[in-house]
Amino acid sequence: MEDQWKRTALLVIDMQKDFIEEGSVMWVKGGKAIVPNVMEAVELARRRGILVVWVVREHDSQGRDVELFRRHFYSSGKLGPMSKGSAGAELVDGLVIREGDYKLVKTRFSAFFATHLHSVLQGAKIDSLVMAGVQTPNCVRQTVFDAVALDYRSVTVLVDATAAATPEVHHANIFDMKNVGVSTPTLQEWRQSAS
Amino acid sequence: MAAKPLNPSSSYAEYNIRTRKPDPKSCALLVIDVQNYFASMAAPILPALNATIRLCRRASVPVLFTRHCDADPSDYPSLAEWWGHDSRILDGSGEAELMPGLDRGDGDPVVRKHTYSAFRGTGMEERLAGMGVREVIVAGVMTNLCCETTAREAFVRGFRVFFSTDATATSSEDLHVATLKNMAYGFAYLVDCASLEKGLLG
Repeated sequence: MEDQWKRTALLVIDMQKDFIEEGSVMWVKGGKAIVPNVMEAVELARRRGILVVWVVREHDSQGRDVELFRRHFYSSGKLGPMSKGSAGAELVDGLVIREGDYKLVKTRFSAFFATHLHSVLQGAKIDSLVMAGVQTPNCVRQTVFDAVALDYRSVTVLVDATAAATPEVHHANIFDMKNVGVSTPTLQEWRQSAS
Repeated sequence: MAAKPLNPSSSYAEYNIRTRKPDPKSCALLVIDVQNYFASMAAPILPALNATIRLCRRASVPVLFTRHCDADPSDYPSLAEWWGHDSRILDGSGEAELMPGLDRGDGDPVVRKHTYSAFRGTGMEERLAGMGVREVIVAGVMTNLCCETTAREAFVRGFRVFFSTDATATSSEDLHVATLKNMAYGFAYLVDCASLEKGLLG
């Protein structure tokens, strides 16, 4: 089993203040409730020696690298969401990057889009991915589908450590991911699987 | 000590007038000398110790362990003179090992020390500074010797100190309580598993 953990990475996706804290324009309603489970998933991963990858969005303060449909958030002179160096781009309270973890900055939904994530994972001989974070229909979904496209042997989504704006949206997307061969355990089930 | 305090918190509560939550981003847990040599004192608090360790791990707080191993008496004559040459804890002996039931992870540093203080001659201060640590939570044994000295040393070196009331133990209740009174008075915010859970995990 220990061998398997060496070949596994936990991707913690976009658990940043601007996504989790109410009041932000990018607020994901279901996000705050999963913070304790994400913390536990990270703790478990560290205990098992699984690589923890912190996937975050960091954007140009003028929004030059954000999707077109969000550019208007960056124009008024107010700090746009996930601006590089801003408080909103920081990980939410309770999540801390520790030595040995890897931070991956992206500017689009998928953690693989225009990033070197795939080469870093391949270099570490990682063929199994576990996802936590937000939000299920966008960044989580895109990362998952890209992982499937890139032939990762095992792709797992922790259903109670990921979230969307509503449970309906969340479960609809989990349903779609199940249909492409993705594993969708609860944190509890993942904890027990091979411990 | 853990199980049944003679006079519960009332005896040191009057000194415990400060409250604060540790900052998970800049604190570290120091688990002091939970070695087989001290098993009779440490065994009753092992559940609270492991609970404290787990809470810290959940909050991404680094956990460091110390082991007390007596050096050559000619280097540190005072301990041998005080406690007797026969009482020395020799590195490499079973007694010097961390207790098997203690939740130590593979990546957790274990620092050897030769005197009560976990800072003296160990590089602990530099190590913590290098990790960006500015606060320490002290747990382990013995409350009034190595835990208290380490807490005092941390305080005078500028660290913010938290001292566990339920994950520390010593040879007698009154010495344990005396330490807690003095810690609360001048050195440390008193914490226990319940307050740490609230403070670290919110």
